[in-house]
Amino acid sequence: MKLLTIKLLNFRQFYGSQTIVFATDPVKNVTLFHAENGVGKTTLLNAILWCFYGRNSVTKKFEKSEDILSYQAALEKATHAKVDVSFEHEGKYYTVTRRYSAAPGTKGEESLTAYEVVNGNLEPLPASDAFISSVVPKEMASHFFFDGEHAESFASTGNFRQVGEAIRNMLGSTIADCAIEDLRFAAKQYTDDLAALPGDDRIRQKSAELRDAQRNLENVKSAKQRLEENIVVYNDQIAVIDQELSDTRSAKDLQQRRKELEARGKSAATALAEAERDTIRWIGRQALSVVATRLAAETLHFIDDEKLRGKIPSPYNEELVTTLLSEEQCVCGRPLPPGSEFFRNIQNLLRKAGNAEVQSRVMRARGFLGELRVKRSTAPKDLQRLQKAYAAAYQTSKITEQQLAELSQQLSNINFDEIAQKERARADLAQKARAADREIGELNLKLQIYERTIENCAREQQRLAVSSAKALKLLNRKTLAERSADLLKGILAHHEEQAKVYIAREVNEILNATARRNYRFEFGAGFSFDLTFSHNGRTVPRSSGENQLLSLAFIAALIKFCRDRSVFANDPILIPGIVAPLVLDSPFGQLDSTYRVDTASFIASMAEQVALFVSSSQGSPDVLSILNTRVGKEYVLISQNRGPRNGKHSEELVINGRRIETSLFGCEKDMTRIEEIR
Amino acid sequence: MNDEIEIKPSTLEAFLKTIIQLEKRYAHNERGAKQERRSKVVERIEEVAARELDRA
Repeated sequence: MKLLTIKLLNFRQFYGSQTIVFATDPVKNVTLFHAENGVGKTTLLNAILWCFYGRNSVTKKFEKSEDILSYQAALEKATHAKVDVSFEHEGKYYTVTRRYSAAPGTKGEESLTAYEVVNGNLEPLPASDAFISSVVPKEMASHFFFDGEHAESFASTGNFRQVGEAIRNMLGSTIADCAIEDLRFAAKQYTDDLAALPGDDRIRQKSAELRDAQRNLENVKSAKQRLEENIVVYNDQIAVIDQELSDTRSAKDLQQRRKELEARGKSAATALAEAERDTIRWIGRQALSVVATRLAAETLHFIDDEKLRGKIPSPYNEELVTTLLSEEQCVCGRPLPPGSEFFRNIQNLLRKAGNAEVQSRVMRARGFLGELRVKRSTAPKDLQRLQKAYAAAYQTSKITEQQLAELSQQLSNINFDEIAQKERARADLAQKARAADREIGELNLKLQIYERTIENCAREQQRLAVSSAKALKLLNRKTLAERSADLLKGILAHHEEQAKVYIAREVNEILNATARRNYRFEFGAGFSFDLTFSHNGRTVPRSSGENQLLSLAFIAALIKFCRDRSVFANDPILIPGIVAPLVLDSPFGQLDSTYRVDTASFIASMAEQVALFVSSSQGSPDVLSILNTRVGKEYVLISQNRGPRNGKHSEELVINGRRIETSLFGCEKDMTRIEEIR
Repeated sequence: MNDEIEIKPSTLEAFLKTIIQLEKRYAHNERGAKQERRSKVVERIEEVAARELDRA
């Protein structure tokens, strides 16, 4: 299917009749729409969805979906709006028209008509809804016509059910899914009938047991699947926290460094204090020797000189002189009569006479002065050593203080409470994952028990039913319904596994070409999936940009898968795939500039025909430059307002060197005008 | 699970085709189709069971 034109008549802000012609060239396959927020990008996307499927199929962003008629048109008493979508499908041309009609004061009514264009004439088709569904089944449409929000959230963590549903939709298994559901419903009805069968209590009892065991088995299977999906989600969340914590790892390093510096500072302070004490001790011990160097030398010289001259100590002893005087006789034997001149001469000797104490004092003084001289010779070296030690300790202390001050400044900017909170959240998630794992083990045991119970009950039920024709009939029908559902389920499961392999391969190819790092995408149990680093297999903590990239890669893979399946028109079970245009509203929302450029380069190849809606922030010059060679048609949506500008900023776009004002005031009508620029 | 009730693969296959065709007919009819569709499924089960299984 290829879009040719879309004609809008009084559809929302698109007042009057306006037409868009889509690019259909295989190379220049992109139709590009520029529009700022609130001007009509989402409305245009939803115009197609509304036309094909009605108001129940528009996107969430299309608010007040019942308000179809343009306000401006309503002011002018118009009561009709419509959207015509013309397209080519399998070599034929069609126009689908959905009309909206609102008599004043009544709720609007919608009607759909599909036409085949034959020789320029419109020939109505029977069953327009069925025709549209055969061209683009409704369940597949949401993967071809979608808004940025869908592109952001589609492959986000834990969105397994939506992914599974998308794969099943694109696989075309909705009919088979419905059949399984109906067959199981019928089987349950027969089981209930068996359990309520009058007459035979044993069959009734066994059937009731079987029904309960089957119900329990289904519950356990669902619970197990939920737990398995939860574990994947927990691990994804842990990976995100790990990434955040690795960003704060530098904070931990800083903390560690602070501890080391504090220890070093403490040690330097101790060394400094020790050096001070040593210096004081040195002063006590050595300072005298330094300051009294000259005095000591002169004193020693004096003592030695006096000694040489026999003055110190005196050559006679005080005790000897006293004895001579008391005995009044000299050592030579001459008498010393008191009062005699000789006696007085001897008595005068007492003033200078030495004794043991004086001698000892002189000896000690000399010894001390001698020591001072020795100390004086080593003191400077000792002081130098102490000064060096002091200087080293002082320098270490000062540097450490400075480093601590710098660290403190860095640490004051870090929120440690938040880090602790993250650590707790991580521990909590890990605990949950372990608990889920344990619970799965318990459920596996339960599964075995229920399966055995079901087998035994079924055998017993069969044995008992043989004796009752009515019971046997019910059992035959139940068995037919169950086995058909099981068989169908098995066939679908096989197709789903093949689809998963195909999609994983395609997603990996796209990621290899676009992602910044080497990632590996793979499916797990059910439709759970994981994005891991290729080199170590660890889960990638996905940013919103990476989620959007993964979503786009996933959708591209789905579209390709669907296109490849379009050749299997005669599959007995699956609806064949389709070829349809891809209409994307704001697909680059969460991508950074590099990813935008990389994504822009593959987005044009995602489908045979692509329509893109971008705002000026998304359609940056580098993105437009990449897309330029693929753009076949280009439009700008211009907001026209009747009211005055009132100081509002002028908005304009510069496209291909042309300056276009996108927000006009003082206009005749309130509306959005579609202006073709290529 | 009911191993002792035999259903030929060809019977099962043909029955499934019938059911899928039936489902396709109701696929685009959303309003009130579910009950009617399920009644039709039960009708098909009754037909096949009566023809292929009850007599066995």
